[in-house]
Amino acid sequence: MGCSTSRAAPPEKADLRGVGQKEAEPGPGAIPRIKLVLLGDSGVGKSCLVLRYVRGQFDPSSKVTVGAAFMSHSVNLPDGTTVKFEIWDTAGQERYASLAPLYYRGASAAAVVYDISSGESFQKAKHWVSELQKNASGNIAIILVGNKSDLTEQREVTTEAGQEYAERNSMLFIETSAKTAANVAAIFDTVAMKLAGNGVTAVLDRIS
Amino acid sequence: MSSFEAPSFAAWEPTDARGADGLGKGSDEEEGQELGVWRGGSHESVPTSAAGSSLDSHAASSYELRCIGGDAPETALHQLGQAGGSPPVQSSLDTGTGSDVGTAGAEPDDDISAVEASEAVPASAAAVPAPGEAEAAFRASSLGRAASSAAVQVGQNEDSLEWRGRRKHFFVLSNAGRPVFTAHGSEHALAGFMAIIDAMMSFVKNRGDSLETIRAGKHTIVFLERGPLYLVAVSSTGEPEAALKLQLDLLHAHLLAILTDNFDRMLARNPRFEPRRLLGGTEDVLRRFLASFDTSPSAMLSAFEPLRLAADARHTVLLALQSAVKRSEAVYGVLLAGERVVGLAQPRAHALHAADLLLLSSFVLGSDSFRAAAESFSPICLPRFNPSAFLHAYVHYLDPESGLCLVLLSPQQDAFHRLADSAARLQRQLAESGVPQAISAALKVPGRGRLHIPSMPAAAGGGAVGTTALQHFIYKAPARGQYVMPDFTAPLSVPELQQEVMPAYARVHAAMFSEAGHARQRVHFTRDDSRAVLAYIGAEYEVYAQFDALLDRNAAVATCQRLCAWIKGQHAELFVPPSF
Amino acid sequence: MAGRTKRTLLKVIILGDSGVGKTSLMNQYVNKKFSSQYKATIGADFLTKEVQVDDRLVTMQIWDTAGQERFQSLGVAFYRGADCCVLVYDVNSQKTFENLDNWRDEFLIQASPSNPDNFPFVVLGNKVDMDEGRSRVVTEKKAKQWCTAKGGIPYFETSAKEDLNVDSAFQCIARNALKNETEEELYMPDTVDMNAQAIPKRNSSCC
Repeated sequence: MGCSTSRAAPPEKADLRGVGQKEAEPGPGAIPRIKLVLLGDSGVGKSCLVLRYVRGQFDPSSKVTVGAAFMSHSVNLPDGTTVKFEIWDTAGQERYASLAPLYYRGASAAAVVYDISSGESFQKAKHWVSELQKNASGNIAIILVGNKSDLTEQREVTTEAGQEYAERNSMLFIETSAKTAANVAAIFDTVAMKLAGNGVTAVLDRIS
Repeated sequence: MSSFEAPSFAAWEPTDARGADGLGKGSDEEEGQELGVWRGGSHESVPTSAAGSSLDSHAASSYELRCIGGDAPETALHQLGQAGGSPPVQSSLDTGTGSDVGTAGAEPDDDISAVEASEAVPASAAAVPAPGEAEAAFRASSLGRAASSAAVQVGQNEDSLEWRGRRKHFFVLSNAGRPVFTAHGSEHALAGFMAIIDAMMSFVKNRGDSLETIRAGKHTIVFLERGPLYLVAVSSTGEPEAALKLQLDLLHAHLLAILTDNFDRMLARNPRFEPRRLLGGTEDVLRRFLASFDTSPSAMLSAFEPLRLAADARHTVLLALQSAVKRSEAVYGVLLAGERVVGLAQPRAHALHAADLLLLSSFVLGSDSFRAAAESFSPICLPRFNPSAFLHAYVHYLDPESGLCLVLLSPQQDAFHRLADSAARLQRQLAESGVPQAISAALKVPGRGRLHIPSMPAAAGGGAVGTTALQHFIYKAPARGQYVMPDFTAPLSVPELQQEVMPAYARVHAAMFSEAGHARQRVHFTRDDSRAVLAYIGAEYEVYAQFDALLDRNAAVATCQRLCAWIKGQHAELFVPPSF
Repeated sequence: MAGRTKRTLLKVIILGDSGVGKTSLMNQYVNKKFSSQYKATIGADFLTKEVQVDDRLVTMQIWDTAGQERFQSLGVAFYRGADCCVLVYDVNSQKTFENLDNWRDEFLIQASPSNPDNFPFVVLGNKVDMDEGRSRVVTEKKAKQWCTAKGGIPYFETSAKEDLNVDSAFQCIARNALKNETEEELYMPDTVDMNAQAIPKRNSSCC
């Protein structure tokens, strides 16, 4: 084959900012845009969270994400402002791990998701957090999301463990259930408020 | 190395091991019931009757083992007659010159038990026949038996008639015997079976030979080695070897499409690597791809099937695709309606290979997540384009209901927003011209975007069931790399009959073409109790047609000629015109 | 997907002289059956068993050799990618013990593991039940010395016939094989570089 190839080293500059979508200050009247990336092990329910949030749907038989899915969603926050989320739902599979920087570079927020019924997925989440700390932009807002909170019987990761780890790493923390919709919108609200510079505690108070 | 003696261990291995060897004592029947020593696939227990129950070995009347010698053009063929569960009384070894399985040529009438008996005699003291030959024969027969047993054997946890009743199986394993993929059942339950396959292939390979095919009763087992991977197909569909081999080759290409050949390199570097992990989530894609061979001749013909569409609508699609590809600096743009191609934009210099298009559409259509998401962006490798690298595919369903799906392929990993912008523009252009409606409409008329025999003129072989002998056909335009066919209509309205159609075409196709793809003849006609099948190569087309079993050759040829003349007049709406 | 644990496949190969009881050990472990009738094997025998190691469910794929020169017929495929190698000798036969060195060397040469010094071996001294120990010629001490000298290989005295220590030996084998998991390198395929790329040659190489 005559094709030449180059190593896809996560290039320093490559990210998925769109044409004319430089994360510059939005002009007056423009809706603030938040690029959020979901990371986490395969099967923790990242796509379910997004589909629940954007479309209000839950499909228990939902399929393994291939590559990454993109959705955008405009919302009114509890404080009355409107923001547009551009959500990258990345595949959790190992074969795409080297492509992850493409999605989190240039992102203003990352949701690192694990499954509270899988200790292994919590370990994986910790890997993602340290990768973000090493490689992502310094002011990225990270929220640790313990999903499947409805599976109380099979819980392997305690709320305290998640909370404690999040605090230690200066991250937001929330437990959610895409199935019951519990706290799903709160992921996005919390992130938006944090980025808007509001006190996080105040936000959590308001949405709870 | 033509002898099966392996001296390096003999130096310090106690020689009394030979004496303790029980092989010579056991009758062949016992041997067979124990599955020889090629036992496997067992979880928890291996009943010694496993062989008998798993392969209906008594029903299988013969085994045929074919290896291709490294430097021997001939094939080594071993047939083991076996009837009614009694020990085989006759075996013949058709030796290929230079082929290790039977280098010196064993007696054609070797009694297999005699062969085994002599096999137990230490080499130095061997009498007649010479141990090398005898062992060769023995091994060939064991191999044949083991393979056929193993091939239809069920991992004990998968012990279900369903698994065994499958018409086709595909397996992929690493050359360290690690399971990579199985079309049915679970890879882990089949770990023992995979090890047997590995042992068999390695065994033959170590003799400078390569295991190609084993026939056992109605099962054909085809083996393929690709780098550090072994691929195996087991089929009882009656498809020819060549077809199965092509399918294995495409299965390997599909693995590359998901992972690039970096996968091969990684596995070659580290044989302990657990290859299944990288495939995570794509098993269903592969399974659907393999199942498509039963209904689609795309693989066999190395061509794609266009959607039947009014010429002006097609023209709009092609213009829009061209412009989208150009604006977004993509390499390819494809608009699919289900598994059929509505339009294609490709640079003249890098025409999209039929196999790559097949893999692309399999990957896109087979992954449900693309359908669920608004827009997706995924790496995919097109092995004919470049087996070592990913392209990045923007995938967007314009209309999930009709399966109308746009794919733009870019070499740039950060191209998403450019591609998305172009796609949005394309979507507007199509909508303004009413193309999505035209496509939905095309999918609703009889034939559902395919030809429809009952609606075709009688002169072209059309007409309602009972008025025409023509039941199905494939018309390929080789210059365009495209083919068309009708949807299934009566009398082929039940799945049992439909699943016979592609294997029947595969047999005539294999008869027509050499493995290198050269036509051996221009017309080939076969007829059995159920159908008459004609393959016909004209100047600008290849046509394969299936008729009522009563039709004779001349009538079939005449019908085909009229059919082709009629199709020629329909080209504009049947085929995608070449890119501008 | 609660309690989701990734299943892992462990390739375990059993080496040792003919007649030391490799096949019996394997059968004892997998089938809980013991057949005193010696079973010869052409190349290898394969058995699989699922085992729980801590919180992981793993499938052991056990490759048993014939213990004679014949299994050389598989060549390097037999050893390739093994996760653990079990060396078996008969405590009633000095020769089988002395040959452990050869088996170990043979394995290291053929399998050429990336970390030969840390590759997990387990040694089993089998047939301790024979003649109630009266025919024993290799002492436990001597065997353990050998194991220590080879870098601290775990040692078990087993009897396939009496089902003595068989389970714990295999449990140790699984555990050690898992411990030897190498850090997987990141899977990083290339990307087509269209600028550097000339027109791909449409050669007819098979995909």
